[in-house]
Amino acid sequence: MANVTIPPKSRAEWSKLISGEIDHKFKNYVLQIRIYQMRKDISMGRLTLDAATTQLYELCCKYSLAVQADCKDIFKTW
Amino acid sequence: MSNKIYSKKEVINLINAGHIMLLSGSDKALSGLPKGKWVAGTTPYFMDGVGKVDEENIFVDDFTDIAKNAKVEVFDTTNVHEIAKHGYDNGFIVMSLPIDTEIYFEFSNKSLEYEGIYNNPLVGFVACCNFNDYGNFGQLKTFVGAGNYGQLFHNKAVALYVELPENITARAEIINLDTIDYSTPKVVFPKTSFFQSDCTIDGKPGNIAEYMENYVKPRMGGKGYTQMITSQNGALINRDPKVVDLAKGTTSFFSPAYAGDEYYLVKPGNDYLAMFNDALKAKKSEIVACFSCISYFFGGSFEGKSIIKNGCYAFGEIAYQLLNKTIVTLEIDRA
Repeated sequence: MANVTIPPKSRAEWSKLISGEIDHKFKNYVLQIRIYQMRKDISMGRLTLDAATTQLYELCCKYSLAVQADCKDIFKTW
Repeated sequence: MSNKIYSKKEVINLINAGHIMLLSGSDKALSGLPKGKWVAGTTPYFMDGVGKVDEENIFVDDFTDIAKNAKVEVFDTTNVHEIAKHGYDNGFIVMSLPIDTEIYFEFSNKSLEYEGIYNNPLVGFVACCNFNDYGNFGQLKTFVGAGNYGQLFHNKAVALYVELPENITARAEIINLDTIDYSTPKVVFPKTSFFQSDCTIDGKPGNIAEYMENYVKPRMGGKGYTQMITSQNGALINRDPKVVDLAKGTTSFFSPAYAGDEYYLVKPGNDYLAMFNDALKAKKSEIVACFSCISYFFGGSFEGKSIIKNGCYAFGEIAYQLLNKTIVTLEIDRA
């Protein structure tokens, strides 16, 4: 989507969203269930935190317009 | 987009004009349609201005205005795991599959493990029949249809893949009008399945049929059971009980309870009609399709009453996974 950005993947907050260190509840259904599944997969050794962080970032890129309010809440500025 | 009921003759004209559509209707209404870019599932329950039961006409979710391209595919139990892989880079997938079939169980138990399942919104509904026929001859009237074949099927899944232009992104969202009653016991199942028996109840070994009979039923005044509900990181997911067999110690559900998820009983909403309309009014994005559960149609007495978004009502809804007593909306954001 043109003219809509999200914070760079290098930001620490992305992995903290997966680990739960940042407890943000996304309103978007796909992000809710994706993070839920990723946490389960990490706890069972099926996914690494790094891989999960990448997947979360890519999903937010896809839904960059819909997650703008979430990003402002989590990252403040970028 | 349009979401409304048309006569069969009008739908045939739309198909022949190249419209890209999800169709829903009775088996009689959907049979004999010409080939085209459509998929279909049977159900006679709709919101079309007002709630109605219609076995003659066809409800159309028409995506032509927003579609850049579209294709139809049919899956069986051997290849339904590839359903998400066939999507466009930017688009969505609408699907239907018939209740209580092998493919319904196959998809529902495993969909969240499918490769690429989160690449594009995957939404739809479970094809069914008139509720009065369910359990009797309902299976004979439950079909899905694929426009590339111009044919109806009993035991397949059908998927319409729609490609969107670059300036439009689609999202799947859900609305659950009930909430979790955390004062009720926490139930956890050891396996993912429609059919459950052993579980833990507040951490202690238990049996779900005994729990339903001895705890849930009395709470319901002796009149049946109510659904279990869990939160998947804020997404409220219902699991509706279907058959409780105390003798066998089993309970079947209308969707699989997942291993390890923490289930409670619901705190039901008090006015489904008002709550549904309020939830839709709160939406900021454009809803291009809406699939809802017949539990709301019946429980909220929607027949003859108005919900502000048209759509079909079915025996199960799909948003990446099979859902119960849920409203699924396919929404678009425009850049």
